[in-house]
Amino acid sequence: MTRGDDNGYDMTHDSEHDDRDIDAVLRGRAVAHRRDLDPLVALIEDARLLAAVPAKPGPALAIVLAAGLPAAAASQQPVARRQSAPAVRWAAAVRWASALRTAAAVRWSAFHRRRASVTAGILTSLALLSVTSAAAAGVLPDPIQNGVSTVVETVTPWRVPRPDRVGPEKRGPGKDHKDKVGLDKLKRDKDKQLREKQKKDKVTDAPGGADSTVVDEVRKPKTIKPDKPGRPVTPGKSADAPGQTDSGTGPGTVRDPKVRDPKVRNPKATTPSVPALQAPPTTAPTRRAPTSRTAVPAPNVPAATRPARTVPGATERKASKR
Amino acid sequence: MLAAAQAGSPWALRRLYDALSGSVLGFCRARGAAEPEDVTSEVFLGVFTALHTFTGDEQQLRSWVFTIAHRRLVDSFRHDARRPATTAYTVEADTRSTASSEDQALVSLATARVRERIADLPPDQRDVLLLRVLGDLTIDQIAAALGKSEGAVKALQRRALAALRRTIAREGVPL
Repeated sequence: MTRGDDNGYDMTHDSEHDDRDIDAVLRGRAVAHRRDLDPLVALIEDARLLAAVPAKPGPALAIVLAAGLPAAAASQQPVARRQSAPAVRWAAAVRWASALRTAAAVRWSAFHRRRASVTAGILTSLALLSVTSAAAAGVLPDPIQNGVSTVVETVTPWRVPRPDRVGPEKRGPGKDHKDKVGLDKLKRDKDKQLREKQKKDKVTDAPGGADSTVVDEVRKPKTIKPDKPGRPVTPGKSADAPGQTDSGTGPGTVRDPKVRDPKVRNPKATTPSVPALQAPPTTAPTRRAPTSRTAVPAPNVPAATRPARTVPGATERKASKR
Repeated sequence: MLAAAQAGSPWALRRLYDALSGSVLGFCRARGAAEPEDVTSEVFLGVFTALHTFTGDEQQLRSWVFTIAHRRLVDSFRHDARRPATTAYTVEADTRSTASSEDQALVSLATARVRERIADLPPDQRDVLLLRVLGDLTIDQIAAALGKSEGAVKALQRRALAALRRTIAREGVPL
């Protein structure tokens, strides 16, 4: 309001006072101390006359005013509505925008629903993978390691080390040569047990006075190959004679024929002394037996192949029955 | 009455129309619509059709009606701009205002005077002034109807009145 043609009629010199004056002028009331505003008040009065006469309704509006507005018409478009092309385009754009917004909202909610399940699946997979990896590394506590190993070996073809299985798996892969050494030692121990058993049988058969032919038939495998080739051990020789020093029990030990060796009754009793050499379940002693019996002629030692039947005194009872 | 009008009752719609149509028609006339009564009819058809969605009191209803009127008026200006009229509008040539009623004659004269006075005002100042005078809207209601801030509306109103005073002082006291 600083233009040169204002001529002192600027209404901004006292804003609070002018606001009240403006309000009065706009309501068509004259301001007592501002007679200069009277022409403006007259103009406002003229403008107010424009609103004095109601408009004549058009045909469509006359119908609505006469009959009222049906309830269903509330959602319909106006009857005689003139809509310009930009308005039509704008309305179409608004409809498209609202449709896009609705579709985006639906997709967003669907993504939210799926994201929860996908996240749960990923977390579960990661947990399973980490547990399996830890089990493969053998770092889990023993009970958990056993459980995980059982599950993994059941479900998959892989083998996972487990604490209750003493054998090659415990030591891990890549140590087959050590396993072979352990198996050889096991074979030697078993052969030694067989020899001791045969000696014992011989000792128990001798004092009973049994039929030597029957006993000989049963004991036909006389030559049991020892670990060292070239030194065959023949039962009945001085080394196996009763009361003499038994090479299997150590020097200076006098063997009592009536004392039953627990190793003979239960060949597996030797396993606790060599836990690291225990064979895995897949290489059970029954399946390994042919390999260990390569040094012993199979037809000659039927009793040796069946350790469970070699109960001391069984041949004596057979002979006495006869 | 508002609830009855929202239910579609004819008497309520008629009363609503009688109460507001004069102001809307005056606003359209003063604002220079080519066919102010047609625009007014369109405004009220739109108002009645969307009345069931309105929530508020009667003063807010007034503001809502003038918001619709302003938009329809802008639409009609755009429509007329694409298809310009062959003859300019004059009060004397307006056959609809040649009724024998003295009031209508006075209205015609007043319309002519007002249109002559506010012809030099920019459109936004005209809108503010007419909505304030004819629509009896407050500053914030005008701001909501025009999509402007209250400060901007106040400034527009002040500038419009100052310009009118300058015009009147330059041309002399009317009538």
